[in-house]
Order: sequence, then structure tokens, then C-alpha cells
Amino acid sequence: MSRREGSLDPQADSSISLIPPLEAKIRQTHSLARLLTKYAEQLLQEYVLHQGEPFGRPGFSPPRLPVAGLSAPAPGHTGLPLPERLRLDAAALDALPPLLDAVRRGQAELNPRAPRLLRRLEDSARQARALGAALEAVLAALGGPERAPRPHAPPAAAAPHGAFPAKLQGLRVCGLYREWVSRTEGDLAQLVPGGPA
Amino acid sequence: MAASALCQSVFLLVSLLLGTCQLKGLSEPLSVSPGSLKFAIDSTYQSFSLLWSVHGLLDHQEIQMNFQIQISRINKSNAIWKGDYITTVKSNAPVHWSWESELPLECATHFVRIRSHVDDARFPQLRSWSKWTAWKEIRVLNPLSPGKNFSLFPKDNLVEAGSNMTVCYVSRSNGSEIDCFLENERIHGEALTPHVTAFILINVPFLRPTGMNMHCRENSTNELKDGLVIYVSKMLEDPKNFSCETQDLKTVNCTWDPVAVTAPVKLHPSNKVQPPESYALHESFSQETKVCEHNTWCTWQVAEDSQDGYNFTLQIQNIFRKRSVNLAFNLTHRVHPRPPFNFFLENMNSTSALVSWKVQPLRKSSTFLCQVECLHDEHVMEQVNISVGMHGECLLSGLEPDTQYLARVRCAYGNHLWKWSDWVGQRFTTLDVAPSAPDVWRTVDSVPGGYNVTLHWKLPPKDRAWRKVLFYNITVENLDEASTPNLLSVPPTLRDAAVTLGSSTHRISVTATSRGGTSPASAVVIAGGSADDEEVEEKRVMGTADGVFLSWKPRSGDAEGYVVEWYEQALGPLHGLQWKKLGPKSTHTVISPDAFRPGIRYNFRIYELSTKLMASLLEKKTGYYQELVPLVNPQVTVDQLNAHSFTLSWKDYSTESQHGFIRGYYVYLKSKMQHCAQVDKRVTLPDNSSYCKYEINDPEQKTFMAEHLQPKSTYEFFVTAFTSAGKGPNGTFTEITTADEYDQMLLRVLLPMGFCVTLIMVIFYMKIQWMKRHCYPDIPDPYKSSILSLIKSKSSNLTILSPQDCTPDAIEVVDRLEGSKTQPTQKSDTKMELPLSASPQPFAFADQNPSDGRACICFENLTYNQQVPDPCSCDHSPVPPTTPPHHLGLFSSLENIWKDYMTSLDEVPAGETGVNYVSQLTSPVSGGKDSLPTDPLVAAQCSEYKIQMVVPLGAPLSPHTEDCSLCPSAP
Repeated sequence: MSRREGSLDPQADSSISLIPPLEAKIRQTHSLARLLTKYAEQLLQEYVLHQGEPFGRPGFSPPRLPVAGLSAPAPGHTGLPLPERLRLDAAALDALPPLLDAVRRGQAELNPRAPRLLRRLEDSARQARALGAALEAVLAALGGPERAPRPHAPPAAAAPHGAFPAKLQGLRVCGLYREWVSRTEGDLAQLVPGGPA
Repeated sequence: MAASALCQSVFLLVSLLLGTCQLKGLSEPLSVSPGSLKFAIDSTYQSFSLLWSVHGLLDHQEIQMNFQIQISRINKSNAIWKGDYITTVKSNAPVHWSWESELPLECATHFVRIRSHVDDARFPQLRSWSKWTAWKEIRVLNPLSPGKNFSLFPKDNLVEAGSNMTVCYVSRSNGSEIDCFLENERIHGEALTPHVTAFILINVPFLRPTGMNMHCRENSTNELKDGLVIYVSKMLEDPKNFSCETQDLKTVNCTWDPVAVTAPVKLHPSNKVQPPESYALHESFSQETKVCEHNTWCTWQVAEDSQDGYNFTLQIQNIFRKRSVNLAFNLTHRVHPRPPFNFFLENMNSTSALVSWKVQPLRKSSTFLCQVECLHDEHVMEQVNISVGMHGECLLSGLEPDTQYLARVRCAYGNHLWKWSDWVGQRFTTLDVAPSAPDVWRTVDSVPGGYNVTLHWKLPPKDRAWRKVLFYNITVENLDEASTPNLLSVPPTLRDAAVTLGSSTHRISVTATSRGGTSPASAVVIAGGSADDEEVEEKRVMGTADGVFLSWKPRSGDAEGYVVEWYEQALGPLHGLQWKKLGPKSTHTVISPDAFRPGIRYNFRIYELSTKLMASLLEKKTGYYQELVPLVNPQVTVDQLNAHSFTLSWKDYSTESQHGFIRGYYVYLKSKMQHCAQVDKRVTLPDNSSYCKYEINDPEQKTFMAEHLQPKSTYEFFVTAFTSAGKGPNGTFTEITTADEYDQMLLRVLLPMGFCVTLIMVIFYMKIQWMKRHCYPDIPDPYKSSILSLIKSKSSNLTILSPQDCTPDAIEVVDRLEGSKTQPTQKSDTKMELPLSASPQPFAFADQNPSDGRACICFENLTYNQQVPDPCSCDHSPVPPTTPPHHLGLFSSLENIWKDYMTSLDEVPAGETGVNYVSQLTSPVSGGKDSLPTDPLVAAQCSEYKIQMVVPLGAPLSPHTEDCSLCPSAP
């Protein structure tokens, strides 16, 4: 902690003072989050493309199934202090890679002839892991706790029985991935000088 | 009898005893019935298994029994299936039977009961049915998972394309509207119970290997309730292209085309992966079966002492059906050998190479058929088939020096060619050698002081080493003078060279040099004074299908040989010269058609070579290998066109540059209106018209005169040339109209007349003033008037006003002193002299219009024969001079008219009684400003030129009023 590059006062977001290396790291992480937001959107589209009807139908609203170990961003997420939000983002990004891996395994059985989807799922797990690590590093540099607490996760749901529930589960995980990456990008944008306050 | 009765009784007793003993010996069950019914549900395959025991069997007893099974659905009275199950039942062994339901078992409760009878010939007395067992209720406990109130069944089923299947859902609530969809299509179900609805899917299609989605959602909220995936397998087909072969007689490799399969399906709820299909290879002679691991090929190990004949059956099966295909063969007929090895090239020189190789032996004394190929530039130059054992070799001969080749070999087993092995080969380049002596010829042109010699050379056709020629050496040696030979090196790309020589005799030799050495020299001798343009008559020659035949007569008896050269006439000898050298005994030759093109004219020259290699021209010929029709038709001009003939001319038409010798011309002539008059020349067309066809057989006659034609008639003509191959291309007829003979005559007359008239008109124009003066003077001469005679006959005191005596633009108005009430006006002061004669006798008439009471005195020039419609006094017709009586009556009233006129003047305002001059040539409308009448209508009636008259002295002159114009005699 003696080599902290800055300090993070959870109570005073606007008073954060940044020094160039930290700023560069934040900018880099933010750029990564922005890039992954785009990739997450592409992943979701690719996923829907291979699941058949009604997944690709406009207006299709599957139930928001609970995902073991990961919850959706809370409605009051934006109202939380920025450090808290970043810690929740980091925890979600930490939980996402195994979920994405599970989706990839399920899709390998359901859609073995969709190599691009499988590759995107594999890449997404790796990228979520990288973004989470980068966010952890930013948090550490800002003086946050060493390990971000896991967000309040719903009780672990049983593994989906059947191909259709597996497809729904995968859709849910891909949607959560997009939400959390997008949320991370928005939260990091507030740290970037010149970004939204 | 008593004894007999006793015997019968004893027999019956014994029989009864024996029968009793036999039944006891077979341990007959007294009552056999099923019981202890149990069941097990397999939701993966929508089936349940029944397990029951049979009561009443003795230990170790086996009997065949028939069980009748009845199944009801939802309630016991709703029997849906009934069937028999015959099996051998052992004591203490449960009976097992399973049944597959088309309706998912989660969606309905089933009831089962069983009864039986012994189906064994040993116990015919036990064939009656037992009692039914009690109904056994078969029901899936808790089909809905905890927390779920809706579920579709079966989960992820696998069906075959085209089959039917039943899907159902179970819902806790019974009041909601549920819509279910297969992919995008809504499907309608049948409510089995308030909580269960079933859907029967007929003829399920194959959409994709990953299955079809079916889902249900609530109608009102569109909330997704549940979904499932239906995997559809394509109907299994017979495997295609099943084939087996061996490479080494130890292993058989069988292959087949992949069949369309479904991806492995994980079935739920067991998570059991259902493989799409399985493959097995069965050999009927050995009765062995091998399960194949791959879906397109399988291997079979041949035993050491195995037979040569095999009968394989490939079996493919999935959970729905089986397919198989059979193949019987002799193994030695299905050998696909491995490629040869130890391939070498040996003893390579410029024209041959020895290749050797080895073949993997299969059995003792086995032979292979091997194929050796030698390729150059991907073209097979040589192919040899050799039968070999383990070792083979082949000599490739006839190769070209310094050329790259590819030698390769492949082999097939024994006498039954099944398949060739793969090729094994190697590229190599033969050694280089010196080229052959080039074939040299020349063309000679005389120039002042010597010759221009163009050398041509070529290598023998079979000597392909010319490709590797580095350069050619040309040596020029003067044979008349001792001098150093001139040496000239020429690049290998050239095939000719030009040298200029003096008038001495020269020897020119050519050699070709390659990396393999220098060729022998080939020479020609140019003798002084031996130009090629010697005067030899040129003859025509014609080709045949075999080529062009040329013959000649030897000039001397010791010729070294003969040379025939030829070239296209249009290109000349310097471009594309070809030649052929012949032996000393030759007197003719045939040049093959390959050297010629149809329709091209060639010039041929035949030379005799002396022993000193000097050439002298023997023959000149020209001709075609194959004549074609003329390329173009003559351009015809028409000359000497007259009424009865015209001449066609095409003198610019070249007969030398055609595709054949021009033999003549066809002239086609036809009239538009008539048929050809000359019957022998008539050619009838399909439309019944005809034309005359004239043939000119002299190619140099390039005119044709069409005679005996009708004047002023239209003819059409067309001229085409012809060769031995036919006439020229079809063209359009040209129209021409013969002249009219009368027109010509008229032309001869009218032209001079027209010229004369024009000349006269020119002269007249130049003398127009003179003409005007003499032919139509502006002022008529009263002395020449016809009225003159009339006047003379009536009154001697009348005189004629002479225009020469008049002042044209002056009028003197003299007031009449007597009998006039008119007061002199101011205008009367104007001194206007009227050049009148002494006696003012009027010579023209004055008319009086009684209708308006106004009078006009008009002067009219009779030169103008124009009638003026005038209601006033001017309204009169021009009076020809021959009508004097008409005028006479009027003359007598002239004085009265004047009186009335002057009276009317008194009524005119004083300011308007002036006398104005109106020009004779002035239009009344476009007259001068001063002459414009105030009343245009009246003025238009009167302001015109009237007959001039002479007013007697003292008579009142008409003043200029609005009604009348005083028209002067002068313009």
C-alpha cells in the first residue's frame, strides 16, 4: 500500500486527484471496457443467431433467470458511490468468466457447428477476466481494498435441464456480460478526466 | 363275461392310476396367474417397464405363457391399448415387459392390468385365462419441478424425420390462455385434462441438425412459459460407394460415403448422449464382425491363412432403423499397391536414360504391371508398360539433348488391374550435343556492282537442339580472289541475314553453335551474274488435296540437287520464304498442304544446284493451293448512258490480289418492269421475276455494254467476278434509268432557244429605257389614240393635248367666268398652268352619279385597263377605243357636268377648295399626305388615274375636292 499511486476517498468522488500513470491506467481500462462493450453486443447477436426461434424474434422477452454466483446490476447501482460501483463491477467481472465458459461448453453440445460463436464465448471469458484484472489494478491504485467483494448473488440455481433452458441460461449470461461490461465502462468514464461527472 | 368285466375295470383303474402318476410326474400347476406387479418409468424414452411374477409355478418349472396386458390412460375405463405377450416363464423369475407411450408419461396417469394363460401344449387344460390383476397406476411423481408451474414434455426428444410425435404441457393453473409455437408456427393442442394439453406433430420435418425449438407463452402477458428442443434425425439411407481394397494383402480398407447424420443429442432428463448412428463391418465367411470407429472408413485385418474370397456387409444403424450394403470380392483382385521405391535414373546421356525401381512384394512369385512414362512440358513423350517382380528397369530412349524430362513409374498388382499405385518420379536433363547442320538457302537480288544476298536457314525438323543454339556463324568466302573470309555471328533468334557481295563468285557457309559444340557447315555458292530475276516464263500451278505438285525438266545431267522455294506473292520472298531441297534425280515434288493457306497466292521457284553448289533458276510458277471465291466485287461505273444502251465499266478491279485466278465476270441485268428478253440468258428468281445473266470469260475485259434497252426505263445491274471456286459475294443491284429520246430532242432545241431568249432578255434589260420609251411610254400619246379619229370626225375645233407640251407637275386652273357662281378662291391665285390646247374638247367621259348627286371629272389613262368599282362618277368601265358611240353621248353633257360640279364646289367650304395634284402613279391609299382625302371611301373611289381630257379654254377646271382627284397626265 505504500506504493499507492493515489488515494480513493469513497465519500468524495470529485476530489480524487490523479497522477499521470494512474490516469493512463484508467484510460486504458476504460478503453478496454468500451471495446468489450462492443464485443459483448456482438456476442449477444451471434448467440441469438444460433439459437433458433423465438430467440431471434423481436420482442422476445425471456424470463430473467437467476444465474448462480452473479446478479444483474441493481436498479440503484448508479446511486452508489463510485468506489462501490467499481468494486461491484470488478466482482461481477470476476464471476463472469466461468459462467461464459459454461455457456461455451453448453453451446459446444447444442451448436457444435458454430465455431464463431464458440470462439466469441471463449474470447469473452478471457476478456472479462482481463477487464476484471485491470479494474482490480485501478482499484488497488486508488487505494481500494485488495479484493473486491462479490456482489450479492442469488442462490445458485440448478443447472438447466434440457437444451431449451440451457439456451435461455446462455442468453441470460451473455446479457449479464453485456450489462456489466457496459456498466463498468460507464463507471470508469467518470474516472477519466474530461468524462461525465 | 365276468372275467371280461373284471379286466375292463382293472384296465380303467390302471389307466387312472397311470394318469395320475403321469400328472404327478410333470408337476402340473393347478393355478398359474401373474401377480406382484411393479413398474419403472424411463422418461428419457417415454416408456415404462412392468415386472411381475407368476404364481403357481413349481420349482424349476418352465412353461410358455401368454400374458394379456391392458393399458388405460387418465382413468381406468379409458383403455388405450391391449396386447399379448408370450414368453417362457421360469419359476421364481420375474417377467419383464416394457411399453413405450406416444404421450409423455408426465402428462397422464396410466393404468395397467395383466392376465394370463398357459400357452404350453403339455398343459392344454390350463389354457383358460386367469383373472385380471388389480389395476396398477403408473404416474410420474411431481412432473413439475419445485417452483415451476408449467412445463413442456418430453424434454429434448429425438425423432425421425417424417414421423409423428406428441408433445404436451402440464400447468398448475387452468385458467390462463397458453399459446404454443413450433419455431414460428403456432400449433393447436387438445386439452386432455384442465391441466394437461397435448399437441400431435404430424410429419415432423428436418430443419437443422441442432433441432427445432418449441415454446409456449401466455397469451395475455406474452410471458415465456417453457420451451424444448425437438431433435430430428434424417431418415437413414443405404451407404453409398462402399468399396474395399488392400495395399499389402494383410489389411483390408473399406470406405463409403458419409451419410447425412444428426449431431449427437444429449437426451433429457438422463443426459444420455444418443449417438447419431453406428457402423459395423461383418464378414460372412468368417462370421466375424467389427465395430467401426469412423463414419467413412473401416479396416479389417486379414488372418495369415485367410481365404482370398471375402463377403463384407456394412451395417449402419441408429435408434430408428438399420441399413446395410454388401460387397463380395477376391482379395487379390482388390490390390492397390503402395508406390514403388528406390527409384533411380542411371546411364543418362544426350538421348537416353535408364530408370530402375523396386516394388514391395506381396506374396511369393507375385508380379506387378508397371507403367513408365517420360514427360516433357507436361506432355507424355513415351509410355512403356512392363511386367516386373520385385525389381524393374526401363530404358528411355529417343530423348532430345539438353532437354528436361520427367520420368515416373507406377505399378498395379498381378493380372487383375484394380488400381494403379501412386506415381514415383524424378526430373532430369539430358546431356547436350552439337546441333545438326542447318539447312541454308538464299535469295539474290542484283544491284549495281554486285548482289544483295539474303540468307535463310533452318535446322532439321527433328533436331530440336536448335532451341539451345547460342549463335550462328556466317562465313563469306570469295572464290575468285584469294582473300580472308568474312565471318559474321548472328544471334540464335534470327533465321536470316542479308549480305552484300561483289560481282565475284562467293561461297557462304552457315554453322550453328550450342553448348554441345558447333554443327557442320552448310554452304551455298553465289555465282557472278546469277541473279534470281532471270527471264523465265511464269506458269500457273494449281494445288490438290495432297498439296501442290511441281515438276521440272533438268537442265544439265550432273545436277547436285534441286531446290524448290515458295513464298506468298503478297509478302514477297523476304517474308516467310520456304524451301525444299531435293536430290539430283528428282524431277518433281509435292509440297504438303501444311505449307499453304487457302486463298493465298504463292510464287514458286525451282532451282537446279550444280556440283559447285551454284543455283540456276529452272522454273517459275504461281498459283493457289486452294482457290476461293473473289473477296470483293468490282466497283462499276456507268458510261455512255442513252435511251437504248449504257456501258458498265470496272477497269480499276484488280485480278491479281484476289483469292483465286479471276476467270471472268458475271453481269446481271434486269428490268423492273419486264422479264429478260434474252431467253438464253434468263435466270428466273423465286418471285417469278427474272434477270439476264451475261458471262464474260476474259478477266481483262472489264466493260460491258447493255444494249437494246427501252428508253426511259429503269434497269438494275450487278457485276461480280468468278474464280474456279465460284463467284464473288452477293451484292445489291444498282438502279439505272435510260434516257428519254424525246427529252433529248427537246433538249437539243430548247437549249439554243433558251439561250437566245436569255440573250434577248439581257439585251432588253440593258435597253429597258429605250424599250419603255418605244413600247410602253409613261405618257400615252394622244395622237396615237383611237379616239383621235372619233374626235376628228365630230369636231374640228378639238385638239389633242400633247404630252410633250405639258408640264407634268403643273396644272393651271382657270375659273369659268360665265355661268358660274363660284367665287374665286384663294387657291385660284395659285398660278398653275394647264398645258392645254386651244380647244378644250374633252376626250374622255365624265359620269354622273344620280344617286348622290355628286359629279366627278376624272382623267383616265387607258393604258390601265382596270375597272374601279365606284358608286360615284368614277364608276365606269374602261372603254376600248372601238366604242366611240358610248363616249359621244357623254361628251354632250360634259358642260352640264362641269356646271353641276362647280355648283357643288360652292357648297364646299372655302378653305377646302384648293386644287391638288395627285400623281398618276400614286396609290390612292398610299398617296402623299396632301392627297389624303378626308373621306377615305370617296377618295378611294376617285383618286385614280382617269382618262385625260382636254378642257376647253374658259371651261371650269375641276378643283381638288374630297370627292374627286384631279389626276394629272404625268406621273
